[in-house]
Amino acid sequence: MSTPSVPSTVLRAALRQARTTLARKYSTPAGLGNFFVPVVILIVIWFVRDVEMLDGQVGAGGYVFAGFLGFGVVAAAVMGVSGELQTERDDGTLLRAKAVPHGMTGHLLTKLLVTPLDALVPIVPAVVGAALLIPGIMPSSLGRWLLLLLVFLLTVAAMMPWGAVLGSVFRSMMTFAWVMMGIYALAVVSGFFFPLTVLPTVLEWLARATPLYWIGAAFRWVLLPGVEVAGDPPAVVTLLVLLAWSVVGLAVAPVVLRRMARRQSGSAVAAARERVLNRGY
Amino acid sequence: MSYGSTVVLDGVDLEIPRGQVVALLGPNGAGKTTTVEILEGFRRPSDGEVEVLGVDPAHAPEEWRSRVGVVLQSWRDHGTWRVSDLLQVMGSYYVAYGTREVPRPWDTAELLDRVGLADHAGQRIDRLSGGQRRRLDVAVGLVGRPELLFLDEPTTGLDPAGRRDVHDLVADLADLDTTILLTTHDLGEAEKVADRLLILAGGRIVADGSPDELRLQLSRSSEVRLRDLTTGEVSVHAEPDPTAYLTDVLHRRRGEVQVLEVRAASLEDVYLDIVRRAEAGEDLSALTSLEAMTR
Repeated sequence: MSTPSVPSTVLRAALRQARTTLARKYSTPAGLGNFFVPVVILIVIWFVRDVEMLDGQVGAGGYVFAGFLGFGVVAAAVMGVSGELQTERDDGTLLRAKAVPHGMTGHLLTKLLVTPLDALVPIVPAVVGAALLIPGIMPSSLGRWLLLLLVFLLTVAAMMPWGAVLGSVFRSMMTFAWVMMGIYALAVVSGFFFPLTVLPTVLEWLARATPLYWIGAAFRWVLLPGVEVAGDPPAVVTLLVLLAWSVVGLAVAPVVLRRMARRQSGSAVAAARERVLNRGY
Repeated sequence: MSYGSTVVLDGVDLEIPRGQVVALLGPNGAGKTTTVEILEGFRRPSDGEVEVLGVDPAHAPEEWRSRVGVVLQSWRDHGTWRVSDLLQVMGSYYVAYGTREVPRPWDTAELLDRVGLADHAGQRIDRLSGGQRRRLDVAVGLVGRPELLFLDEPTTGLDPAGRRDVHDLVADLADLDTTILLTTHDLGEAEKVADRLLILAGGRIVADGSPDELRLQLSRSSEVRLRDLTTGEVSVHAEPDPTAYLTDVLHRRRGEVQVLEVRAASLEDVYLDIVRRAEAGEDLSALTSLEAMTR
């Protein structure tokens, strides 16, 4: 019997970890809560389906749907990845990963595998529902479906590493809660649910300075072909900006994560446990 | 022993033979957890040299991790997973380190049986009792068949039944050929599970030995009380060698001693005294041995 090499062991372990994580997450009531948001969005889309936007070029339902997909990616990365990092730091998950050989690498690989699926889970029922509610919103050809999938993966890659960075940098639950609120406020003015041009110029520039706006623009480009959204740049620019965000993010995130992991110790976990016992969060 | 694990601590070389169960005992705040975290490689020492299994833990390669098991006191992770999930996933990281003699990881069913959780394999982790949860943590620590296992305060926060659970488990592991270093502030617990006690006070190891050895060491520093027959005066002497002292004094003062009392300093008293003094904020760094406490 030959012993498998270290890299193949780590890869298999991470695959197994990802499989178990997904199976356990989506078989508990908390995990099923992920299906709640798409239902709400579908109801909204149902109500605004006949409202027209952008001089009648597109129904509000279509615009909101594209925005929802973009927002779903942001939520999965920020609430998902960075929120999970907070919990994992406090409950000892990260420390446990540190205690097994190559456990930290495996943990990050698991995250890379699980997060895109986490982002996909609330999107699937929304896509199915929207296909039924808004005729013509879904891509009609296989090529456009593939394009949608590619855009989805690109936006996840552009946002996920920054979720990890936020989760590592902000250590206390309170500051982290404020940061989350900030992200949501930013999402509101990032053109997901109404065109950027209705906002004051300052906010418009602020929106363009983060990946959020570009994520929305990318989904609008795939889902609303032929619709001119005022202020949206050509598709090539959008995709290049997203690519830049993912490259920089994937370069920065491991460095920040490693630094955070180095600081993990049993006493940090014990202190977090004390805090949760005393203050409840 | 050729497999011996060398632990350097505060300038003190501790040679811990393979398979020994060692308790690091000390009052809260004595530095037990800090010491263990340094040995586990989770914390860098500010100064000095540390070597565990021949490697500096702070810069140890990942391969070293496969030889060391870690059990912490405050793990609350993976609550929604099943008991066997966690062992299988964590175990899968050790596959590359298996050898013909030592297959790694430990088979999940066998390991669960070993730690007494065979009936709970399919249970959600957050539904385990405190003692069962700790058993699972120990199982995860053992899943890679480590040469050295760290147990940090394994019974803190457990009810009496849970404590007993853990004591039984550690006693059960004695034949594993795994060196175990556990920390506790409870002398009774340390005596129950460990072959060897290290008492940590003021950042220094003040005692090192089996419970019996430490008792013997202390019995030599006894308190001798003599009452004079005529004056009724009581004199108290702290004596490192009470037998010699008494032979001498009874011989010299024949017929003068009315009442004689010899009290051996007990390990419990000395330890409680250390704890009390540490809790009162006293600086114990000048303390070098247990006998010093009795004077």
